[in-house]
Amino acid sequence: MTQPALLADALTVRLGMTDPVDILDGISFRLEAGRTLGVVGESGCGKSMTALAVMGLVPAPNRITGRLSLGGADLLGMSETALRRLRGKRMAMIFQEPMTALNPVVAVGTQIAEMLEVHDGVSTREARRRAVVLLREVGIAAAETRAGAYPHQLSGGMRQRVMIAMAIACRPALLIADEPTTALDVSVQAQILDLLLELQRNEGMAMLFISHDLGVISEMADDVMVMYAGRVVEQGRAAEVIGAPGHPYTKGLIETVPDISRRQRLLPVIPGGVPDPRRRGAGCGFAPRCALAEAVCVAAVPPLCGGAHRVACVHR
Amino acid sequence: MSALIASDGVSVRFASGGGLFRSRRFVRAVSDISLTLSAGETLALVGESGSGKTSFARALLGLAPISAGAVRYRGQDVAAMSRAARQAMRREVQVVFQDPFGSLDPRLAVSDIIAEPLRIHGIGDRASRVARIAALLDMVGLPRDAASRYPHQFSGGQRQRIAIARALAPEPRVIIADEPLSALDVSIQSQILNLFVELRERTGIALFLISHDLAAVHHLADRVAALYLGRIVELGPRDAIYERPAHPYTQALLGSAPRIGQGKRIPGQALTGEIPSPLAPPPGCHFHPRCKLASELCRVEAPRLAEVAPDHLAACHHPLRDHA
Repeated sequence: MTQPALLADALTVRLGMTDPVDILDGISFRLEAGRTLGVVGESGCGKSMTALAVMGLVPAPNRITGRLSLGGADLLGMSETALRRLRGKRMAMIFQEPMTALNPVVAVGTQIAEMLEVHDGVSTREARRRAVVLLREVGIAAAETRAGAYPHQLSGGMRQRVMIAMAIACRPALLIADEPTTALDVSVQAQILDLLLELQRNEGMAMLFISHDLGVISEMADDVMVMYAGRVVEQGRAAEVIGAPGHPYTKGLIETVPDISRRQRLLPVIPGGVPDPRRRGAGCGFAPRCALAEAVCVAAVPPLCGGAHRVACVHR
Repeated sequence: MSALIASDGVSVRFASGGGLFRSRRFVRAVSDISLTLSAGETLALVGESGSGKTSFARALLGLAPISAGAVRYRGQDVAAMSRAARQAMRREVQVVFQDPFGSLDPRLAVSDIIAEPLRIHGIGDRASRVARIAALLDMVGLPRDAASRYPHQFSGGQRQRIAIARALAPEPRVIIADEPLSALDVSIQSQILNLFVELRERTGIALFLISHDLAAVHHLADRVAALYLGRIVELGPRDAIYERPAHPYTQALLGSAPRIGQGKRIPGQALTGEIPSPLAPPPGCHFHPRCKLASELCRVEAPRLAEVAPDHLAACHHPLRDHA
């Protein structure tokens, strides 16, 4: 069997030295080349922390345990130098707000060219030429002129296209997209989602796609992982997880979103909010907000059970 | 139903640039908008950033300069109102903003925040205000002991409830809500949507909702107006807009919103291009550079809002005619 593009096994991130808390608690998933794993959950559930852990960007002295491998290469045992060589080249990331991720005082074409010079060792001239090609590839008209533009001269959608151009510059095997369209208008969001799908089809890269928007996840992901309070509560094929959710949290997330094909006076709600990781208790993290919760739920964390569609709930 | 607020051909323009050696240019944020909000009604204004939604709301509130047209409140021209009439209008038209972190004074206790409009408008005495604050906290689903706490002690959703309680305090006839959900987590959005539904049923308040979230608008609105680059492109009853959009822009907006459980998206159906700069709006129909149906006529002549079905208006030379 070939190695998956990305494999996480019991990935745990422990925060703090005195009174430590596991803000990621035993995350396992497998992401194959050419596929998209959608990660969904409310703010504070650990979605972005998962991305940072993969990129090797969890700041010390927080401790990561478990296993994380990129195309078979062990990421957790790797030196910072080795990681730096992989970042940008084998794995790349795009963020919600490209304005803060781009350097405001360097022309966008130069920023992309820099990447190519560092990772691919090409000449400045060649890097510039390829930067323009990349800008064209992500759908930027008049790419030669735009390469000389500074981030503030571009619209939000254009900036996100620049970010994507930079991310795919070295043809990474893994692209992590953390809420890439949350700051964009719907019509521009649709364009960016299309662009990511087309790039994936052409390049065969694996995509870890993080969003709180279940509509976006539903349209982008092949597989879905639902996170709550630092743990995976449900995972499986997108059609199954979204079409027949097994965890009350997943069900709640889907039902709370108004649907324009239905008419309801009041929407179902999930009462309360995501708990502080220190106040998660010994049982299921979702129990305090769950209508089905009983004694067994607060006694111990329910394990993820099932074959291809796995759910961490005793009521399944 | 009588019109509470009516805008009659309202335009808003802002001066841009200009200096010693450069002439000033004007940005038309809002062009010739006529809309009415009736008692008890929920009217939603939808559109992408830069469409002029917020500028129009500010014009209604007298917070943006109106360069043409007039706003009428209960039949009276707001610009020509007496001081007393304007004061009464300010009591009866309240606002809820997008960011519940920026819209609440961090140094005031919740009771003072909610009591502020009561004090300003001289409503009730101290004792009756205390009772009123307790009733308002009940109404928005916050515990009574929230009164003595400060905004930083609450989550985003709870803060938005505080902002809504403040807006309700002087018993307004209208609430203008500018993107009241977009700063909140999804599970919290549905809680606040439900709160608006319940408040509307209990108080009969009219709601002027500004939002880019088409699903939320569908849930709350009776009528919907779609805005593009400062102009209304379509206006009609909620179901007509969602089921039989007549303007290609409205149709594209509805088609762009990702939906749950429809399977993986098929690329290539997205609207191309981006909303142009209001400094240099395209001639004719502002939407023509992005429109698949654009003809020569669209490039030279701006279409007027015209009826495509009863109460359903669209500003398009080639309205979509699948009105079966």
